Amino acid sequence: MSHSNYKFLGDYEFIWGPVRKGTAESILFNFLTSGEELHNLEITAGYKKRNSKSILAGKRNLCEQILLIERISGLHAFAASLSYCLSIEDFFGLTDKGHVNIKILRMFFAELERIRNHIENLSEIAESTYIVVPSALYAYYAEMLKQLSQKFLKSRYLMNINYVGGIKKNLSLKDMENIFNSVKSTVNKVQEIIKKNMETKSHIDRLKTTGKIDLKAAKQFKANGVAAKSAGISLDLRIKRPYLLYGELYGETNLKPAIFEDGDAFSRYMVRIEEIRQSLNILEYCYNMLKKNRFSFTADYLLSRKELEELKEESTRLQPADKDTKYGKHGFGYAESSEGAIFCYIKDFDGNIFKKINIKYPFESNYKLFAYGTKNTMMMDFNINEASYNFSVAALDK
Amino acid sequence: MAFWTYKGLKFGIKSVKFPKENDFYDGFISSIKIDLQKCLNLMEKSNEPKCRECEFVCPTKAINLNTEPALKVIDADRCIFCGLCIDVCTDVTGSADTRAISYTTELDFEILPQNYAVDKKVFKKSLFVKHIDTGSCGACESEINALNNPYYNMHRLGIFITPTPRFADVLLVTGTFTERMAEVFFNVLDNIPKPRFIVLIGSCALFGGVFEKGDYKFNSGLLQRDGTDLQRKGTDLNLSPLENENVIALPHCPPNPFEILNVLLLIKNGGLK
Repeated sequence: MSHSNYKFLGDYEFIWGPVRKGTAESILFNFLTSGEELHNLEITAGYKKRNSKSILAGKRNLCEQILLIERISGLHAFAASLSYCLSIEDFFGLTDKGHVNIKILRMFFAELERIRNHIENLSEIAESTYIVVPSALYAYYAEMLKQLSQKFLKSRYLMNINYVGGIKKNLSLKDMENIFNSVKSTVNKVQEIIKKNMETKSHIDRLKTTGKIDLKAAKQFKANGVAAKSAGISLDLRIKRPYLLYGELYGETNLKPAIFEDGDAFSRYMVRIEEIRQSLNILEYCYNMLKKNRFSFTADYLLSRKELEELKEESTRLQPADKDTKYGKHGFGYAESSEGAIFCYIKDFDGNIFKKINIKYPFESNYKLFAYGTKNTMMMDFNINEASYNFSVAALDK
Repeated sequence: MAFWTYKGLKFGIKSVKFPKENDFYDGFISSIKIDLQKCLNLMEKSNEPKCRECEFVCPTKAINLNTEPALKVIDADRCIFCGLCIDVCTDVTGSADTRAISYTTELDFEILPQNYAVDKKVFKKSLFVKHIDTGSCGACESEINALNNPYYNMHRLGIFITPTPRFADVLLVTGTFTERMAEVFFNVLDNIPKPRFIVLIGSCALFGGVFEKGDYKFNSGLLQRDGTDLQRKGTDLNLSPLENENVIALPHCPPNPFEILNVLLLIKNGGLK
């Protein structure tokens, strides 16, 4: 793609990046603009490519691989590690054997991560429209959730929690109750800000019709996650292809896809607001289910080392026979992160690690849609557009 | 807009008193320490270690049980806070009460500057900070951004993020130092006037963190570059990139905003030596 196809008389090019203002990830934007209107945008990623695939293949055990997968994109650490753990469990044939409480706990933390990321993004969107007070308030409440995570899980970004067959951190029902009550109170305060923000005309007006994408473009660029939902495509894996216990939520929490039709920054904003509300309902469902299932401690359900070693041995023993099949033995897992689906495909288990791991983040298709969606928008709105997509460059440059 | 002004005032001051008081939040952790009285290996020194489980599970080789003095068994510069050593120690000793390794809540003040050439207060007024991402996961950026939220509110201490290197006093480096970011890094560094400080944020910037890959030229952080494999463009010199620079290494994955703020305050107030 070249700027020459879009160039009008008087248009000029300028580049922004890879080092940008503030605290931003490294990516290069090449703008073609007439000064006020943005006519074309080329995005060059790859500055921070870390060759994760080859590094993953050099790790010593599954635990180290999980640690690295969490750190491909730190803000989506739990969803990424969940998709990897689910694919390992699929490989070992553990998918249906896991205890129901483990599934509930994983849902709980996945929704906690979603709420935190959405609140942080609301702060960025508010900042991009120059309403500083709500931006600071959102940031404060996102910070409270991070502190809560560190208090109970020893990690502000929900890292080092997932493991094959369970959750590593030992939590009691009382801990879960404390986490749930704190999240509920934080989300209630956030919802009050959202309510008042919806009445702030200068904020809403700047979001409406900004970075508009239609259904056709969304399909053409294979939009994923929030971007797809804002353009009317229901691609929420929790509903379309339920995993863990999401399939049972229909009757309990009235979980419906958060779909909006307009495809603009406001729709993406609304998707996030709706998902915060839904996630809180799911947290409540999870907590009630834990109580109902007489959950006491997380450690009660963690796969023991001995059991895991046996599974590994069994799997290695069975592998040669499976190699005769077309694709060999493989595992597949997925999880819906705050920004969209994360897929994980694993293969070639050598007794300690998986030599082949393919992990796909939603940003790989969304950044092309973002470049397309910014065409013929105002340069002043670029920040709003970027904040509303909220893509992680780290996940793009694996 | 008047409503938000009112709302902001009504919300009140929520900032911590740090550094006047160490009023860290409930659950704050800053380091992992080993209890010499409880460690099976260290309590009775013998030629054959009784238990090396923590050393074995550590993904970044931060634990070396042969280190002297024994208090330095856990290398704070390489620890990523994964907690695997704590889990395995609990397994070996049978319970959380008897385990030798645990989290501590003190700020790790043992993190000392490297190649440090200045022994007095360098900057008279506000401190301006420029950030460069050389291949991080985004969590370190999020922690630096958190310093602007009302809880940490680093503006109250006269520390600001600047968009341009020309006005910067400090360069915050995050990430594993990838091949494509190497040239960009020097470009930014050359534009920062002296005296200047480089703060390496997080394990990735120090040694590559979990992305460390043996003898690979890049992806192993900035601290390990000795200059033999990294030549600055346009010069014949084969200098280490950190030669004659004031460098401060801040480990952990990611470092807590309190730790970042602490380092920035030490630079601002000249309390590093």
